[in-house]
Amino acid sequence: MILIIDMCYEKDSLSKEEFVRPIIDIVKESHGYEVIHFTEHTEEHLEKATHIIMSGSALMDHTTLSHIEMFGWLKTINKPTLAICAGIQTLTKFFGGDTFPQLNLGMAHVMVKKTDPLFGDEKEFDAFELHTIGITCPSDFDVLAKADDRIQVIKHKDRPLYGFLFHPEARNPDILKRFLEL
Amino acid sequence: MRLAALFSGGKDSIYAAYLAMQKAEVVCLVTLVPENKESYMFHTPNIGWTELQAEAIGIPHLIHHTKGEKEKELDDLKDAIIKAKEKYQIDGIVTGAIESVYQAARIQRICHELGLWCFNPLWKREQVGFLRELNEKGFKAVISGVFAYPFDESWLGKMIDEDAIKELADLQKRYKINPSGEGGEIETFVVDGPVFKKKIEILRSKKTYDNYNGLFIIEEAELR
Repeated sequence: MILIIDMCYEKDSLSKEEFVRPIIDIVKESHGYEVIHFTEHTEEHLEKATHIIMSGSALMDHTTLSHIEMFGWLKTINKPTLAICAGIQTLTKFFGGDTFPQLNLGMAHVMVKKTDPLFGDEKEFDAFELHTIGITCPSDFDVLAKADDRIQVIKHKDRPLYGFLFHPEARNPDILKRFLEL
Repeated sequence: MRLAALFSGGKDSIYAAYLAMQKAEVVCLVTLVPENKESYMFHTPNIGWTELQAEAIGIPHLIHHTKGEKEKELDDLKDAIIKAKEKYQIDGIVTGAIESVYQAARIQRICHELGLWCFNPLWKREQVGFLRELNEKGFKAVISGVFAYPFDESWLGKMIDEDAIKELADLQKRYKINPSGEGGEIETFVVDGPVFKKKIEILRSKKTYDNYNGLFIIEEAELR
């Protein structure tokens, strides 16, 4: 079962249609899934999941960054986990990296810096960005891809935890599909 | 949360507004109308009828007149949203964007500059599924314009019902068109639906058509 964590400002928000449903549409083609809001995860959810995807949220929505205590499970989780936009910002803050104002809206050209199964054979590709907050790479992570100077993708050095600043569900569904095959 | 819905009178903007109404308060509908009648007579001839749609829905309608100059579209849109913010104290806007990252990014930027939330509840919707949902919820949308091969004159004024959806799905397979018209292949005009307190009856209309470009122009309509 794929656990999709809704990172939007409240459960069943209007943003869910925009940031969670497109992920569901990709996942449901090949896998069973369950969606929960970030405030309602339990040990049982994490136990049952084979993979975890943390969604993005609206440009004005920084709710998860003021609820970092809800993400204590990131400390030990060893299942493939992919955090998108608000997800990577939360992941970064949780692991001691910095977040800072950085506005990027629209398509970016992403360059792969370190090969990874999630990129397939792609060395560079275009992707959709929608964020006002950028990140630095926490010390436990490696940078896998950048667009200009901006960190776009990070991965934990020892565990399959990924962070994506861009939104793969918008223009790069193959990345999500490869993640589901991990 | 108080929202303004960007409102063209077509199925996408009305359905996005409908979804927004389930979660927030939609306090006004915002429509951009070109001042130059010539320009919209040839492109969006039914834009004037959004006034009747807004009356049928029963939500205040903010009409922002523009010069209709292509390169100033963005400034016009921003001015309209500023007006909505001042007049209706909105916290955000809702749009019917489905696929265009260019369109989505432009509107997101305007909202960011104005400190407003931006919602795109149809974002990345699978198009045939979306048309079915629209139909099942009781929205009645007629095709008011066709702008691509292989749409012939018979599509003009056609209601998007299950038969039409099947045909559109077939055209998607055969010609790679966007069945929802996201690529500009078709335009629609909504005459009824669950958000309508009264339905629109089209009393008189005319069609223009030439070489896979056609319009269904409403000349007389009333609320019933």
